[in-house]
Amino acid sequence: MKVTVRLMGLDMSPDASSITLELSDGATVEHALKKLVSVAEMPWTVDDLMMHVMLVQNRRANKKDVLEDNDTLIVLKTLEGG
Amino acid sequence: MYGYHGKLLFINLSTGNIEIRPLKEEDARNFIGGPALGAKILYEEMPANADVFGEDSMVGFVTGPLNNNRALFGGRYTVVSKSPVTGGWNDANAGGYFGPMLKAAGFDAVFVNGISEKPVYVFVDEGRAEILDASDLWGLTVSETEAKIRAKHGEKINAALIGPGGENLSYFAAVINDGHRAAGRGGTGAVIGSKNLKAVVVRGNLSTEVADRKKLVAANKSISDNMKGAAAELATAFGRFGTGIFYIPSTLSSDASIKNWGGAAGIDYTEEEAYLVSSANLEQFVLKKYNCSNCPLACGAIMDVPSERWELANIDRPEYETMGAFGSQILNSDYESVLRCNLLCNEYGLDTISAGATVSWIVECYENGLFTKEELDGIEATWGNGDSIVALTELICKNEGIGQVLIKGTRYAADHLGKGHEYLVVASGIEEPQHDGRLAYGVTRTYQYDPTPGRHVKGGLGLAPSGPDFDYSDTGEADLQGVVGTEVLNSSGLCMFGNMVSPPDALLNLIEAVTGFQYSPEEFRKLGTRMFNIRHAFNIREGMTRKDFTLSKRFYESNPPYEGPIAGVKVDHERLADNFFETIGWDKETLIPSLSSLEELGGMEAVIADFYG
Ligand code: SF4
Repeated sequence: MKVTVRLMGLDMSPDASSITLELSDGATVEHALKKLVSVAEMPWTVDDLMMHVMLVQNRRANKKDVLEDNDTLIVLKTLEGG
Repeated sequence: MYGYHGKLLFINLSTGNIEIRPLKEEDARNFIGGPALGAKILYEEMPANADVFGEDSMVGFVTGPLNNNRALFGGRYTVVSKSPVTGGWNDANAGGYFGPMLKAAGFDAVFVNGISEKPVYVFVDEGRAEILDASDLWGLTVSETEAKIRAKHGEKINAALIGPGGENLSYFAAVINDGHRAAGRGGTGAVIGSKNLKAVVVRGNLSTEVADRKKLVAANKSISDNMKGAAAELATAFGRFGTGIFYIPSTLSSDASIKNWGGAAGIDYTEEEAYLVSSANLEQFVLKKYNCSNCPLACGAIMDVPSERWELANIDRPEYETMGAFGSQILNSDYESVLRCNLLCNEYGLDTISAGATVSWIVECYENGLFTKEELDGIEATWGNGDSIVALTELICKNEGIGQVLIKGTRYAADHLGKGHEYLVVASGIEEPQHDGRLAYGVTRTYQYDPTPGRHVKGGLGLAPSGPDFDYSDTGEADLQGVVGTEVLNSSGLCMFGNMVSPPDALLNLIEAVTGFQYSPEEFRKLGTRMFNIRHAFNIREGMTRKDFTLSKRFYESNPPYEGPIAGVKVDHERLADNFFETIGWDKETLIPSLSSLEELGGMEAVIADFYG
């Protein structure tokens, strides 16, 4: 299945970066983030990313949430988030 | 005494009496400056239960020791008074150049009581003060007032002043300096207006001696290094985009208010809508940057924005709070209208947080049929309607039509009009700033029980988002530590954003370098706790108990039909409060600090005498 991951504000920039990942059925938020850090160059670990607000579409997500095809996982930084 | 003049100026506008009194060294050491020193002085000088608009009511303009002493980011001063909204303690701070200039004029603080028969302003000039006629200033906007004062006294002055908002006793009247820097919250501008006082104008070249110049240079260097190192990204972003850097993520995460705190982030207000109001979009209009005294970051910006509807040339970029208040909170993506409202509030001297919240409240009331268009002076007060939002803001600013009621804030308006209580989102009557307690649970304790309720710049568990596995069992200690750090920060004169890009030990190093006072970790904890307690004691002496510190349900509970990131969240805000009260040593019902906790803190003799005889 395809899941899009968007990172927003983590590097203090107003621009979001976006990457689409191919994941196996039943993959969780944590699986998606592990795949993300393995395929994309970034200064953050999976634990770093999970300290921020994570949304699947518009709902709050945590690492064990199972993703579905065409989901968008957003990791975003608020003022003191993470 | 290092870092201070050791001089406090007291002015009685009823009698015309002007008096200089010494600042006691023990008070400087125990309360540092800003809100805490202001609270100590008002606690002793202002009678309990004084009429907020009466002769005994006092207002203070209080510097911190870092003002005008070459400390980086050391430009904040604080106004203090009783609040017309809560009936309790109020303090609010502002950056710019007024605090350092008040210090350069020779005083650590100015306190004013009494009521003048006619409009006046106070002119503090190199160690002297006089009360001057302000008849020609009364009724003028902030920029008009400042221009007239400068024409009379020259460009080297600075002024903390009120606009028509303060003159009209708006419960969210701000005190403005440098044209746009606002000590906005809690209504101190109205207290000043009730005294027929238009401004405190300051001028001078006096300096104070710093205790340890080498240590000060080292502390400043540690900040500069940190801004190039660990905090480089944040410093660059703040410098480039201002506090609005996080507007988009904050609207998507539900940190900011969506639809008067009743909407769904990302659904009712989308990323595309947020982008229009954000600093990222507004960057195209930035003409130049500006900073406060001794600030290497410069988070302010002047913009020129083409508009066919309003004059938006040479205006300030709004802060994050203002973007949220007039943007996502009212589902508004019409950035020109947000900029116009920001300009109106600055010119009329109103707090944008409460002004935006008040417009948001009336819009929700209107959308739910509580008001007709006729009752709102013909304004179609619908969600996201930029023209209507500006029209309502204008009525508030000009104190016309429905604005005559709204100018006193949402709780007053609901009580006065007898409807809309279900749409209030307030802490003890104060409208909430743009950080949602249902995302960062600790905010509920801070907003509800800080001595100045409803403040995002006060201490506690902070704004870091809480997760689903949030642990309520042991929050008191972390909450108190957050309070201690923020109390000391706010009293020092250091800017909070500056502190965010500084290494953790910079604040204490700066204070010690400037004042020569030394604080062990235990003394530092006592210092911040004492500061918090003296502000709190003012409230308790006014007769407030736990039941008087209220928080609207919408701020801690989001049952269906709420959607989005905070759907289903219910924060046990009273449990967080219980934990905190246990740690700080307050009775859970009366909120009176225990005798042993006050004795241990020291410097609280007047409070002990009042509560324990
Ligand atoms: S960071 Fe912004 S608010 Fe703080 S001192 Fe600098 S310009 Fe002023």
